Amino acid sequence: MLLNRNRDTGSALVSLHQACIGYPSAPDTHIGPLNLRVLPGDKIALTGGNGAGKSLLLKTLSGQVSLIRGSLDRGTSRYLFLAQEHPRPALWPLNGWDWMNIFVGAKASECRLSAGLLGKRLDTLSGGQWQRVRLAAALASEPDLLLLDEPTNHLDEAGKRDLVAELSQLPEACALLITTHDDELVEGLPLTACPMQRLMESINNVG
Amino acid sequence: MLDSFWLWPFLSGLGASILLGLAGASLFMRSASVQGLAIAQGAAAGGILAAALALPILPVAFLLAGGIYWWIQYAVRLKPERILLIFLLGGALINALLANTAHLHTSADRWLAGDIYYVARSDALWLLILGGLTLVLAPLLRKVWQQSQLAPDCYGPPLTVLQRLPEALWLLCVVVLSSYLLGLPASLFLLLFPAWLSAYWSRGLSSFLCWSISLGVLLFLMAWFTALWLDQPFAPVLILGGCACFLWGYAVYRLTALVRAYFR
Repeated sequence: MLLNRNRDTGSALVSLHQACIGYPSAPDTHIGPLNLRVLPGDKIALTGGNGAGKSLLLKTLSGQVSLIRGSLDRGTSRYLFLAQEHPRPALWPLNGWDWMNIFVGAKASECRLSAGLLGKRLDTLSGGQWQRVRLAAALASEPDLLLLDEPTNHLDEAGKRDLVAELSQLPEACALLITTHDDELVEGLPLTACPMQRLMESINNVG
Repeated sequence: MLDSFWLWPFLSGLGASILLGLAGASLFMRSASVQGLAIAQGAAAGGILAAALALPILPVAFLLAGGIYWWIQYAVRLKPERILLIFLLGGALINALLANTAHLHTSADRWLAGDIYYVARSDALWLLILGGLTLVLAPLLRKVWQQSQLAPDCYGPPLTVLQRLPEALWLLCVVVLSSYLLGLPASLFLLLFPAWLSAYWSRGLSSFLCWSISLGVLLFLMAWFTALWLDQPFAPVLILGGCACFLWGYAVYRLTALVRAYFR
């Protein structure tokens, strides 16, 4: 997981070294330097207050935001990033099956998260239903590394239970990096909580 | 109305309406329909500029339209309002050229009013080749269009410029060739209208693409035969007829809804 003396062997799915992360529009307000190393099978919950940089870190790992300094190595792993919000166009003529097809091609099938939703147009789904479809597609794609930014957003209690059930069935080798303020999710899964602050402290620890 | 004299113009129009329906759907899905307007206007401005400078028409039209497409899509990623400004600039360039160059009217007529009934066999063949290419590229085009829906989510590294290049070139070819053959107003209408209308009732991506193509073909056939029958120019008949059909259909739909609500 973290750049840590006990676990720095084996090939990392993604690693950050001495990385300063920030938005290009405001490079002076960057976060870091920080180190992170995610190994196959890691299940990590990034925690921290609002503005701690959790979403920014996931966006950086997925390549959507460039590093200000330091290095990022993603290797050849298949990774999937689910953003905190995915705004939908007012008129969007795609249905749930089309969305699943993007991730898993013709193998798409329903799971408990997406039950009864895949035949519907995406612009007619409620916020919670849309989140269910996104999560179902992400989990069905079986990536090596799953980056989920606040995945319980818009989900009701049943949705959260379904998500916990689906996440606990992830293949053992699949690494999970999640940001959340939802204690139930952290408690319901074998996640290692990792405060953002610790990623920066790891610089000093490892030296 | 469909003897040997009309065969190539008819096939060209039919092919262009199919391709524009498909291209329009792809632009609509990306909320990028205004890009299509700017590219087509750029092609028209390029074609007329080429005529003014006695250069080959289509290559210059491709270059200018391609330059505009690259600029708004890849170089600076312009917002729609600014893309519309480019559209207006293209219109201004065309008008300025027309006002200051005496011999341009024939060439300008081809781009601005359309010349579908006088399309030559050689021009039509280019479009047929593009149609064949579309079939070959279909899986790749679909993949690019699907990937374009993902953001802000992300699955693996984003497609590189090189991976997106065939789709971009395909779109450029469709818009430029169709504008050249059908004229700017007709091609813009077939680029925007069928996709927009289809988006209301399609129930998925395949259905959306099929409806967009089918509506484009239907509108073309309606305009082709009506314009010949009434001895009117093609583009105005296409646009006026298409809008009239839409308004009539919408009025019937609203009236039916009102009647149902009244008797419920």
